[in-house]
Amino acid sequence: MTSSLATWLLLAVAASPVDQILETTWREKGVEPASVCTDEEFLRRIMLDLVGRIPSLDEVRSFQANPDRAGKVDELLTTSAFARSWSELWTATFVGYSDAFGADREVLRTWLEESLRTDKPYDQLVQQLITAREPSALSGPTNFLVRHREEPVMKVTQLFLGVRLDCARCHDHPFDRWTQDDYESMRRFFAATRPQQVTDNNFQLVNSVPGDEVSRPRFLTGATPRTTQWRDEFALFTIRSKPFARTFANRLWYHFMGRGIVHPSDDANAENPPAVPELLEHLADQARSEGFSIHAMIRRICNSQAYQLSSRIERSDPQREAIFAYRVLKPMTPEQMYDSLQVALQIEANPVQRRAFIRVVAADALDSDFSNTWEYRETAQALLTRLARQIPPPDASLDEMYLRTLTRQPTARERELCQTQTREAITFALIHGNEFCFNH
Amino acid sequence: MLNHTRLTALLIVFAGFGVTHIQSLAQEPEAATEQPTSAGEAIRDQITDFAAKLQVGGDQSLSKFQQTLGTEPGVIVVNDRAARRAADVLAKAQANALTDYLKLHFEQSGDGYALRDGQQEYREAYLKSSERINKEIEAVAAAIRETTPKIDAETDATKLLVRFLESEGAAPMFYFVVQPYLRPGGALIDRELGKVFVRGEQGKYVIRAGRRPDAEQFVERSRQQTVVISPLQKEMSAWAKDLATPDDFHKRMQAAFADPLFAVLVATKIYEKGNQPGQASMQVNKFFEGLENACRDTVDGLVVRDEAQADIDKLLTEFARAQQASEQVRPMLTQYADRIQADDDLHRQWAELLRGDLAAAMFGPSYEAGKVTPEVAIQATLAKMFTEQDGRLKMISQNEEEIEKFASKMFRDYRDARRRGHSVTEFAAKITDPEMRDAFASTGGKFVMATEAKQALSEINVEGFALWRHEFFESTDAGYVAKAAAFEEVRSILADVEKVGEELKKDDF
Repeated sequence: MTSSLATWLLLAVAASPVDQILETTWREKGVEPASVCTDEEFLRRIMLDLVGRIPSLDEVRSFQANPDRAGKVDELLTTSAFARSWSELWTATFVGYSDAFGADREVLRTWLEESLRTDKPYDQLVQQLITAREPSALSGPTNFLVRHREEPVMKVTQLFLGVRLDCARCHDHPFDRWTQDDYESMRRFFAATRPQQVTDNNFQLVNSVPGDEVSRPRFLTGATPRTTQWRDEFALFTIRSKPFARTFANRLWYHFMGRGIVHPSDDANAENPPAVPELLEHLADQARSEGFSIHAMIRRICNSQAYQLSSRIERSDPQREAIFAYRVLKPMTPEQMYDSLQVALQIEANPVQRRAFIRVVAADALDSDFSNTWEYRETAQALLTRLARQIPPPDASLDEMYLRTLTRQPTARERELCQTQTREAITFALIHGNEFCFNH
Repeated sequence: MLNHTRLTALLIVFAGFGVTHIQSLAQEPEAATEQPTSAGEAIRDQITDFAAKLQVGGDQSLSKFQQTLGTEPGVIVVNDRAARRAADVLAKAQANALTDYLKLHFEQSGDGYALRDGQQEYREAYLKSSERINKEIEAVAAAIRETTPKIDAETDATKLLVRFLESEGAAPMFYFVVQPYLRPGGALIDRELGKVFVRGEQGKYVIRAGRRPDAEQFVERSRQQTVVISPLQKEMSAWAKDLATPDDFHKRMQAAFADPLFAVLVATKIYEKGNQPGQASMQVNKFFEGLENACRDTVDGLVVRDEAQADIDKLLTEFARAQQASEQVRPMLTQYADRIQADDDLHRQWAELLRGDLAAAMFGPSYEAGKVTPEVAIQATLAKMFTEQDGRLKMISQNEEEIEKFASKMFRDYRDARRRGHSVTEFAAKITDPEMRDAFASTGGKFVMATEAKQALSEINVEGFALWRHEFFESTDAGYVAKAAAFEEVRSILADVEKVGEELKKDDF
């Protein structure tokens, strides 16, 4: 046995199943993984990923004194900031950024926040999203189908089964096995559900009892409903299916790693297989055995060595990237960007300003709403410039300014360059650089 | 006693007007029994409660059934049974809606029908509503008579429309379309306040979660206005005393200035322009500067300069209109405020605000603006198809097909309503009360009847699960005990649960 093989074996015994699977994959493909990230990099990364902002100076110093990575994950999961940040993330994922079709994002977000705070099992959460009936102004989950009333089946299959039926809507899928008949059969699950307006912008989703003469739906697994409660059976077929567990695991993996095991994460098809199938199956099995606990899956991923690899690489390499041999850079979401600027520049939270910032940075583009074009809006760059100008120059050392914005000390070269710059200019440069704007 | 199944069809036709068309989530045109089932989470709780109280004794199938009620397939299958029962009951209620309505108010008396005892209040309200609607239909008819000759009937489509407009069906059919705009009433207040409030579980209004910041901002803004209002009222009152009253104009001005609502309206106007507190006090100063410039002191008191009378008169006219609108809207706002769930300060502040002068002044103008005359409503409907040129209505060329469809549908719907309306007329002829007989035979009376029957139908709350449970289980002090028929039902449910379980085994693709 060579010494290097012994090292691999030792690592394999000590590592988590996730790391074991990845190490085997790297070894088989002859790929060298990146080194593990620094404590400061980990802190910045985990805080952006779990609570949606960079750490404050005090939090950096506290973590430097006690760099307990697993402990930090546990601690952050219990904070209200975690539930708040993830509820915003999932609201945007589930319904986008507008209150289209009378859906009330805030009611949905509040419900998601409570669900995340109590670690409501993901299968239960999705079941409620699909089966909700109560008035949307009062009941969070109802807003999901109210928003997607036009083509609910496409959104549901994409989000929760990782399958896109868009093509099969008009013709048989060109790359996959889904036919137009499959689409039609899935669509019928929602045929007996109608949005009924209770008051302005307040809808309940009413289930009808379909007559015996009506064609019955059929799920992608071949399962057919045995009662008149088609939507309820659809929800059950969804959450009890293996693709649901895989999609759940893949969704969380994508969030933390910046790349899905199936990538794009919502387009599993014959032409787009998982990069590491064993890993996807392992995570899906764990999800089922742990009762779809969101917190448990987060711990599993965040405590893995794979999550904690450095993003510092000499050049990008699609092959290494696809099998997670280094950490992929993720641009901050608008919410993360605003909240991080607030921490870095020590400005007070202003909900109205935050809402405007989020709309400016992303919402129009994400919602494909071109009614207010970019030319007539303040660009993100201009807004950042204005913000930086409004903030008094920090009364702090260069080291502190770097720690506040980038969660690291300046390099010798940076110290030299900064000597001739004003504090305003340094602040401006720090919050405009890629290093600030990306989660790495 | 009463056999009026054909009346039910009339009800459905009438009830269909003005109701938002609801499409299924999958845009499915296929036949289905259109009956809502109970709410999902609510029925889940009922099933859980039922399972806990079910007396299984030593029966194995009941014991297995009890366990099944704790599973997802079990809940779905039982919910299915409940939904079917709810659908049956609602279908029957819909079929009998008109008969039930008539039974509620009338009883057989010899060969005719007389109002039941205790129906005096219903009678008065019915007659009043019928009369009002008949008048409104006549106003619509007059508006149609005035508008129709202006249409340039150059194409077959426009000729068809003109034929309809000149027919006896035009007025009642158009009335159904424009009725919500003629008397917006509480609906307008509901719509305006519905942007912030939603009716909660106990029927009380609660602030929508996503609108809380807006609700807070509105209260804060109102508070700022209130700060301005109080000194403004004092000063206006003082000005009223300072005014001389040599003529009616000055007397009107004095009365207006002495009315506390005048100051509220002035404050509302100032804040309409989005003024901040500092700017607001400047605006108040400007207002009084304007008054000073408009008046001059005389031995008897202040009088308005001749050249300023027109402006002040305009202001007084505006005030009189706003005062009237505010008084109309005030009871509606008070009624709304009474239904706000006063759980926290914000809800209490809103309730207080809606009961005050400021809300009446703010909502009054939009209430007034929301009302339209029959002429305007008709013209607005036709404006979608025609454009006005030199006092003539010319068809917008691309709308020919739309006009043809519209006119054909109106003809068809009217003939349908007329045919079904004969049954109501027959019933009306047998009513012993002459005034009620005439009212029931009129179009307005039929409209009132259909609206009230539809309202009663919408208020029916069918507990499908309770119906199912009552059919098969007896409620005792010890819990729910199976009736004889329950065992077959339980066997059937267990078989269905097994079938759902079989389908769930297909879990991959």
